[in-house]
Amino acid sequence: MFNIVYTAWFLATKYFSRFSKWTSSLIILVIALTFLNLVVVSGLLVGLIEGSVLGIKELRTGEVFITPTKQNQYIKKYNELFSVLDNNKNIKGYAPRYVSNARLYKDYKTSIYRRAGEVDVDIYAAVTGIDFKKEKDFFGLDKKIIDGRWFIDSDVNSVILGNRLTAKADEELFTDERVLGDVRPGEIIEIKFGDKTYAPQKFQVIGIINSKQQEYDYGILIPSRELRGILGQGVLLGPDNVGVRIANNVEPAVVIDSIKASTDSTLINVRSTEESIGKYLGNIRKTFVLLSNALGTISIVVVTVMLFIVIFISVITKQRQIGILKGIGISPLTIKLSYMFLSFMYTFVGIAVGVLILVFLLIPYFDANPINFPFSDGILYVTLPGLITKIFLLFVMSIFAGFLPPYLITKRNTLNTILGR
Amino acid sequence: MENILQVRNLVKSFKDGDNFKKILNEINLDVPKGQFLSIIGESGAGKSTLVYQMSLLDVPTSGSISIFGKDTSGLNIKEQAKFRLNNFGYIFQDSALIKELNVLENVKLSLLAKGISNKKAEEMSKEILTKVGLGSMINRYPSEISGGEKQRVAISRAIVGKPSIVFADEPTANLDHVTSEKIMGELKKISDELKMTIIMITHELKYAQGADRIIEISDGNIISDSIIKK
Repeated sequence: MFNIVYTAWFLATKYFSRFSKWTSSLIILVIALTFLNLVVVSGLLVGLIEGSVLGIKELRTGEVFITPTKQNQYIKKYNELFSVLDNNKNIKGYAPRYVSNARLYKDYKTSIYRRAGEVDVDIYAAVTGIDFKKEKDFFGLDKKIIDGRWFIDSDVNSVILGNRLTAKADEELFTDERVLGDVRPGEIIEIKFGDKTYAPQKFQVIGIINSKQQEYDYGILIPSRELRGILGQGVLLGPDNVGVRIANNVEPAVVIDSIKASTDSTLINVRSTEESIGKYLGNIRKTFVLLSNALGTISIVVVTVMLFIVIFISVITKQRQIGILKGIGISPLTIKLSYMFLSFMYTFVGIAVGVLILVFLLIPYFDANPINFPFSDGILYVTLPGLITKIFLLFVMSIFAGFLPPYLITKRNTLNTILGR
Repeated sequence: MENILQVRNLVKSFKDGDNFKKILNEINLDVPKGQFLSIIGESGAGKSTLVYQMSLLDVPTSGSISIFGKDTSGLNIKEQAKFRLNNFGYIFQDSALIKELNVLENVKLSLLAKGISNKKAEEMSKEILTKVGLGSMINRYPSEISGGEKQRVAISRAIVGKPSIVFADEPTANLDHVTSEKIMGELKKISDELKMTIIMITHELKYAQGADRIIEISDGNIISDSIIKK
């Protein structure tokens, strides 16, 4: 058997090295493109959702997300919860958020950006009271400021506005989207918190945030100490959610279990990012995976057919040569194996070229330039097991494509093959 | 002398419309070991068909072919290939070299298939190629050498594995007179020095006369069988 494999490999290497350079380059290019199509298209499709999940995890939920149970509108006994979180060595940090409704009003009469025909507007939005130091340290929210700056200790009557509440005059909006208009850092807006018992107050916009998180981009951020000062602890009874950042190499489940063990489970839900994103994103993710698999299957079929055609044409044009090889005693198995190896070689080089393009060009490119989608920064999502599976599938199909044409020729009568009849 | 090849009542028919046309008609032939046999005849006489059957490249309609006393009719495709590899050498009309392989690789290919190591196969191939005067051309490809040189490579490929029988199908067909003479000289040398059995088809009597024996075929029958006295 060794001599069969060795002779087949010997023949395949000679076919490969003596094949037309242009044809070989073209075959390799098509395989490389197919491989990239297989990996990149599916990687980007899934990457849209993964980017969104990643964004949620990085900016909002952390690895563990704590919310009140359905029966409660806010997290009760939060001081006990904070104490549990402070004493858990597996937790790097956490950030509680307090949410209230507000009516925002922009006085265009005082705006330096006022344009002719613009009228004063008011809109309703959610106000999130945050611990800005914790949000900065553990969730990196400060890095999402696209205009202006993040909070500092000395800030008073300052807010950060979600970018979806602002819009340039020529900017296209989503249907039914209500915006304040072209508000920029330094401008004053009026905010009326809670119900009508609270008088409107003037705030300076110090920054605009674009986090791709609906809760922030369609709302305003304010230091929680200030929000609680305005509304009073009697209205703002407790945080609406707490994002928890856990230590590296610790499973979220371990932290979740330990928090649950020390707190009242009737008051709070303690969940991982995956659990907290809910069925909606999960279903989109499943759909995109399905879609990418369907596209991937088409790519694999295309490359299999292409390789089949290449090998088939090669075999047909070498029909007599195959007959001569059989005639001088080279076994049909050796001949079939030689073409399988040839197909394997093309696939190997094509995939290698594809991997090089992927690793040294596409992944760094998409890392540096995420695709700007309204709900996420689309990333190129490639996992090693997924990559290996796709490479394996390509090899299996290439071997099949390399086997069938010589199988059809070698089973014919040797003499007929030699004489080409 | 011991017979290396025995043909008994060999018939080969082809379908011709609704009928079957007999190309070989009850052929009987014994070939002793070491004999240089020439087969001559007009085009379409059946000489190539006879060689194809004897060399196991084709399957006869009826009759038997025994090599070393063993009936070959029971061999399947895989066994036939192995039998050809181990016992036969072939020289085709147009040399039939593999264009992707250089001269040395063309010769050593069958040795590799036999399981001989690459190093040993190269040694054996170089030795044969040097003997036929191609020692300096081992790295050239078939497209880079002349017709006569190609045929000498084909001869080297046929004999490098020291087969029991070498089949040569009109080895001088596409060559000029001088080159043909050289090729015939090589075959004669192989017959004399290596004592290999050679069965050669030719349509030129002068080349056939270099053999030990000539049989003439006409309409699928052996019409003459003569030993050449030297």
